[in-house]
Amino acid sequence: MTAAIHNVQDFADWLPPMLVKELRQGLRAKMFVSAFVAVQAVMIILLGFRLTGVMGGDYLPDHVDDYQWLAIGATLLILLPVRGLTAISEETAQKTLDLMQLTSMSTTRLVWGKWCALASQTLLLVVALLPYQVLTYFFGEVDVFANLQLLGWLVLASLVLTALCIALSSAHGWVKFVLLGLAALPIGAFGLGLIEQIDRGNGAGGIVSEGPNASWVLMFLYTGAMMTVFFMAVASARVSHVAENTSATIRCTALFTMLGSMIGICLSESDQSYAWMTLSMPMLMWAAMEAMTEQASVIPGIYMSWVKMGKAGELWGRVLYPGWGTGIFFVLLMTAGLEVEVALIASKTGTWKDGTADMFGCMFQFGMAMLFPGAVLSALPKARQRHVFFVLMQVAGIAWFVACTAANGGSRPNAVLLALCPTSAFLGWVPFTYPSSHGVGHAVAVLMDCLMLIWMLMRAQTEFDTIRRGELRARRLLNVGATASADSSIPVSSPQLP
Amino acid sequence: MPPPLPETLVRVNDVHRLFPNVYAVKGISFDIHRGQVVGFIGANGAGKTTTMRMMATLDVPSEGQIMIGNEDVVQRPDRVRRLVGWMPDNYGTYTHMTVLEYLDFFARAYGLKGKERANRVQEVMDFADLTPLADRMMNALSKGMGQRLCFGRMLLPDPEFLILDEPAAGLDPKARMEFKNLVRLLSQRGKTLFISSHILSELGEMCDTLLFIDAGKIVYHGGAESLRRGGAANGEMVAERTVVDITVAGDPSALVEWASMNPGWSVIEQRRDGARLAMVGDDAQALAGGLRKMVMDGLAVTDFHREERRLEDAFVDMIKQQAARSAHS
Repeated sequence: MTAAIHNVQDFADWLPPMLVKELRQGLRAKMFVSAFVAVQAVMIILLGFRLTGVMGGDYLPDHVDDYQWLAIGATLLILLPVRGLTAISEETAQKTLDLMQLTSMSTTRLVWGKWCALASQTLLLVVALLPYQVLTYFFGEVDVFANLQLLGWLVLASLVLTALCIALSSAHGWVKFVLLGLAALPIGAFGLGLIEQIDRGNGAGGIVSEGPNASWVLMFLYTGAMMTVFFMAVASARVSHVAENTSATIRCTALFTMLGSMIGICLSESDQSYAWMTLSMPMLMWAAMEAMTEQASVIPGIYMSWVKMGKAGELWGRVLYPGWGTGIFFVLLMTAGLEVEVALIASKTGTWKDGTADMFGCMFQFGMAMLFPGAVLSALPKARQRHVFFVLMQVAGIAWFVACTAANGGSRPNAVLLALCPTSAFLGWVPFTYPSSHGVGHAVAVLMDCLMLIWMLMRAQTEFDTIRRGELRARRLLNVGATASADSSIPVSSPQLP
Repeated sequence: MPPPLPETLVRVNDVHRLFPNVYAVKGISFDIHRGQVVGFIGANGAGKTTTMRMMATLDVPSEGQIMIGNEDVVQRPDRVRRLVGWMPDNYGTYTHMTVLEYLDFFARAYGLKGKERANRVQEVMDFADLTPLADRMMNALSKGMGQRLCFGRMLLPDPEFLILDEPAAGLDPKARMEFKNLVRLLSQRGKTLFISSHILSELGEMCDTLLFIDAGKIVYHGGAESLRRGGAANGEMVAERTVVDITVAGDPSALVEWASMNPGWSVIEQRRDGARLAMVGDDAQALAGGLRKMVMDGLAVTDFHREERRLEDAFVDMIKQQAARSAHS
């Protein structure tokens, strides 16, 4: 073995290959080195200001703390996560993604490796900040423990944002930035929740208070972790082989998050119940978008593991197989879960009479609003950029709501007009916006929803036919025990060959 | 223990690939036997890369079946990938990474560990003559070095079936020679190779079998010699012809004019001092008669030699014949 080979034994065998590769590259990348040096420089300058202040100088600015957190926040929440935006697109452009897919590495390991590498660089940077935090403690007037907690929450948000950027990195050009903008909204809500809790820390019960509230900490940790898992599942789906059922991972993550929210609602205080429900909803929306923009395939590899489980597996498959047909059942199951959450909140807070009926209707309408773009897309099987179409349909629904509200001089819009589009009906139904019920509007909306659902289920028969053929083929392959006798009379897919 | 590999390593059966706006592959079928070196030839956009990507499990057929070993590429891509090595036309480089780190990463990704990994990387570096480049950054490699690195990466898992898409494109003559040597060595080790290229003469030297694809259809499957003799797809024959290279004193356009006036003769290529002409058939008497007539018609022929039919010419003839048949039908 030559000396050159010894040089490359810098990482242990047990480390994931993708992590090793990304660390080797990432630690030499200009972006990381510049960010690292810049943050160190800012911290040294701010430390200098503090030192002059302690020594009685006149140069201590009023907001040294603010500048410090601005620098750290910008680095952790913007500079470091945006590197994830090129994680997959760069591999695709360089044609190295194909090479990696041919190795024994799964796409899940591939995207997690990328995330782990970016996360470890973030942690490296944060560890380098710790000595400054300790030094500031010696200058006084600083709650070092509160600062460390805040740093911890920033790291959590940074890691979630990194996952989001990796999930979006496979999208093309401007689509990537539009989706990032839209996805930043729920992440922003997550961040605002954090900030609110941090502010509350000045009083009581916040996560950065003298006695941190364990249930809030748990909620943010759980939601952050599930968001990361979800984004990674989405990223993996973008680069996976067609024979992999990545839809199941995405949908299971969303449903598992919902289950966690239900448990959280049961265990938490009443004022926290809505937060549990609200935090999981953006993920459910994204999962619904993925589900309603997919098309079924007869490739048997997708169905094999489910068919092996027998009838129960095939039944679950009707919710978890790829395709918008199964997506209908997934969204309905998700909607049912939200209704359960509303019931749990109502039983906890004891507000059955006031707004609960509206909340039940609201959540039903939320589910239907998620199905609506799928209904339109089902009539356009050859449409491309289906994700963008889904988002545009939702934006159109919101625009309709705003237009109706504006036409009513900003007061309660005409409920019947809103009921024409499930998205606007949902927004009009949100109890916090318009607390009183709209009897006729609700009735029209529910009628429209039922008609849409029936029409979608009828249109979805072709999807279910495709699934049945895939299952049949998977069963045959499992029965013969090998692929050698694959029946070539069943085509892989059914294109309209000219 | 996996079942032994069949003698027919690759079976491509009525494969179609339809993209939203392009019908790239239109029902191609062929077999490749173990140990064969197969050249895959076609113009740009003929469907070469699409076919190769489907064989490498990177794309799926819209219809039809591809079996490699005993496995279907769509149903068991994981198993097929253990048998297949893929070298794309444009190898990707990583910034901030050395040659050795690149090979080490892929060796890890293929699941090799510890000493086994180090040994395998060293073997591959020796085989592809990469050892002197071990510590060089990837973005500082020449095209030829990059191709050797890509070749080395492909060999890491020791695959049975190697798919090479335009491996010699853009290489200088020395690098091309090195590449040919690597192919010969692999062939001697019993590997099955499937190579696409535009340089037909080189493929003719390296390959046992040639596959010509045009507009998504296989138009020829056979040996280079058979092609030179005029063999074509579906057992049909391309009209046999003799190619002669003639040098004349004076204006070569007179020679070109002569060829266009005389039935059975045609111009392949005009040069500064003469032309390459084709004569229908390979009758020596007819050729001698033609030359005599040329001289008698006043052309000052200073040099003449009969060429062996080039693969490029055979390919062009075949494409023309295919186009004529399509137009007729």
